[in-house]
Amino acid sequence: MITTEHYLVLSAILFTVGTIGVLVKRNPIVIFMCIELMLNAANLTLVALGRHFGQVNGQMYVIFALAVAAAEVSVGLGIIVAIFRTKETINIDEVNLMKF
Amino acid sequence: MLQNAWLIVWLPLLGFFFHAISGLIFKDRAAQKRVVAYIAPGVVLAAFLVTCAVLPEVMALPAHRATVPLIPGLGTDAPWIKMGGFQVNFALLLDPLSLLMALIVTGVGGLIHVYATGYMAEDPEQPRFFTYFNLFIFMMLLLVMAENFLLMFVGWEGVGTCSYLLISFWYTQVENAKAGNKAFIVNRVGDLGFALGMMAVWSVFGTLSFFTTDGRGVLDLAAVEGGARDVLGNPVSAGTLTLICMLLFVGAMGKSAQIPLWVWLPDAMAGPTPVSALIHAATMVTAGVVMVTRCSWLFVQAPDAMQLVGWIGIATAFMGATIGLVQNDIKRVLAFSTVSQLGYMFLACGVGNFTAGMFHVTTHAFFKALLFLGSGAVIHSMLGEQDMRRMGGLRKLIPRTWLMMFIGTYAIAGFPLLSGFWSKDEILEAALESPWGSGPLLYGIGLLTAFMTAFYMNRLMWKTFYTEPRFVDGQLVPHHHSNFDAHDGHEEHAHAGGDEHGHAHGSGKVHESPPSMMVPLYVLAVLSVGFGIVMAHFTGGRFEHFLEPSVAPKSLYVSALRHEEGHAPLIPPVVGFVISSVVGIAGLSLAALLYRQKMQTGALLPEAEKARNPVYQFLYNKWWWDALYERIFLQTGGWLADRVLWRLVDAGIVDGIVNGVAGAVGLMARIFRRVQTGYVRNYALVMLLGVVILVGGLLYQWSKEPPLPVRERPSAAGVQ
Repeated sequence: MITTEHYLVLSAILFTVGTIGVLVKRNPIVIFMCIELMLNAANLTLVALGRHFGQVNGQMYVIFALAVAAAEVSVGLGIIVAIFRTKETINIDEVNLMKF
Repeated sequence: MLQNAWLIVWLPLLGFFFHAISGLIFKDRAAQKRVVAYIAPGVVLAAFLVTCAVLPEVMALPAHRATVPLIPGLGTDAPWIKMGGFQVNFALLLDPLSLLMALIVTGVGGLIHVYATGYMAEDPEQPRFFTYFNLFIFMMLLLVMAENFLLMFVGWEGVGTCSYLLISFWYTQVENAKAGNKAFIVNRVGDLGFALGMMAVWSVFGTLSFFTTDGRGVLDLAAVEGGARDVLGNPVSAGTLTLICMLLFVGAMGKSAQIPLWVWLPDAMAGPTPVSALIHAATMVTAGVVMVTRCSWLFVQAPDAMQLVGWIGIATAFMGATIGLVQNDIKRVLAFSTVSQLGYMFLACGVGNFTAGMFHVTTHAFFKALLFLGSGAVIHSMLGEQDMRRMGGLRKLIPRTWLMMFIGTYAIAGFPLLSGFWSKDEILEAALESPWGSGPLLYGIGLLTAFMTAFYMNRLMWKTFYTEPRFVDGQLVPHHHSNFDAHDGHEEHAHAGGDEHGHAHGSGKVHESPPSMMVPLYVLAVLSVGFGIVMAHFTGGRFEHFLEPSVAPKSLYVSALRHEEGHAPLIPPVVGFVISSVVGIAGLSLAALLYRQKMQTGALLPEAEKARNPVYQFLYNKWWWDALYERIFLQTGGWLADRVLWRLVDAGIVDGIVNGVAGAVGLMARIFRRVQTGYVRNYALVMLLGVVILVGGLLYQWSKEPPLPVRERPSAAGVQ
């Protein structure tokens, strides 16, 4: 049977995968996808614990987080398009003007 | 009239404002000078008349004392400063002491103003001169008539400023500017003492007013029967009073040129001669004596301070007289004479006879002003020559000036029946009866000083008037070291109006001074002759009775020392008179006898011998006081400022800290700016590490605490 612990472990795995992806990938589109992974890992935790305690709050937060994530993606993609227009690349390591 | 007493101080102040803006009113400099020459003496003499009118009204009051508003229309409690229980009022205190000084300041001051209209007639900067002069009169009146210490301090600083401005009046010559600086800086030392004394007074008595109507003034409290009481009514210890009095006396030392702060006064002679007469002889330098006398109720209860005052006084008197013996500049002789006479005044205060001190202040104002103005007339006649070695034979050339100087000399020398005789004799008598002992010693030094005074004054007369002329045929070369040359750069000088007696560019003949300069001399001469005998003899101690309400009685002092009163005087007054007379006449005669043999050169020793004689050099160089101060304060102080304070403390420590902090920040920034790589993924990694550390720390924390009470999952089975 699938217990709350299973959901939490799955969530941790998803979060870790997302984190590693953010850190190692150079393509911002992929980084975004990894961030979505991390977000959904958190969402999964919320839903699982909400179910565990029999409360609706967790699921409510998830709906909220989904809305925020959608907005964030639209802004982020806009930034990526803008970067591409000026630098003709979206390699994240070449966008490094703000440094010492 | 009593309520209009503010006019006394306001008239000179209005004169000051008028002169200050007269340049805007008059386009023509000659017209401006003419009007200023009437307004300046006018306001001072008008103030004198107001003082004369106020005097009988004050004396008619039962307490002989009145407090009147300083600002017309406001009351006597018009506050200047009001903070909690501390209040300083704009008010004037009228009592015999302040009115006596007001009479001297406006009376002698007015005469000197009249004289200055003649003396300064050709100076293109004459309006500026009278601006300062009237401001000085205002400040001096504020000083002597102030109702509280703080207002007195305003006048005290104000006269110091005017003194500075007038000493360096001919500022184009650097020595004059330096002399002004010296006077100002040395006075600062004394002023610090005064300020500290004032603070001590406030902390003990809780007020700065001298007298108040409810009997809570400083001097009211000090005069309480059985010893001074502080603001809470507790007795004030003798130690506290001694501290207060000594601090106040430091202020008096500075202003009145006493050892060790006397060095500025001889240099102050760089100013125009009317300035020397008014500020550095007759009025400002006596401010210290006036202040000590004003605080006599404090001083009489501090025997140690009194003793200090007395010793400093006699030492200064003696030193000034010895230095005066050898000076060659006519004004410098008089300057050292002033130092010496001020010492006499403090001696009188120190032995508890404040009225004698004030009597000498008064007579000294007359004869020293006479002497200074007379010497000014001599200098004027000699086209600015001040060195007595180039004078001689002037008696025949300027007989009226000679007569004035003659009277002044005999008055200061203590020739019997002239003013100086009476006041000096009173002081010597008081010194002999010194309540703290050493009477005969003080008397002896005092007599010796009186002898030297008579000698150097007659020496001045012989060198200047009697010996053979040491300039050719009465013809003078305009003198290149004279102050008048200071104006050579002024374009207006050659065309100055009213050139009746042309000095720096006249005929070169020795000539009498104009009437505007001679008339004040006549008045002062009459006072120098008659004032003493009228006040001390004919009217039977009138002066003493007059001042009685303002000074602490001597009995209070004697009782503070626990001496018995009423013992017979050591010598009867008549014998004292005879001794003083003999000493004075002996001094005069000795000078006459010695210089009679040197009619040609007018010098007792040839110059070459003077240079070899160590005693002469010691005296001529002012006991090496200036050299000592040069060594201690200028060289050592300069070394301290340069090597220690500047190079070590300022450049080393202060700048070191500032630059060190800035350098350290720069160094850290050079190292840590490498953190800003510009790679977004680096930042993300750092953020992750931060979160890991934070969460790890929190988990570790929670693991040691008892777990939170977790609500059990309700009916888990039902969901499954």
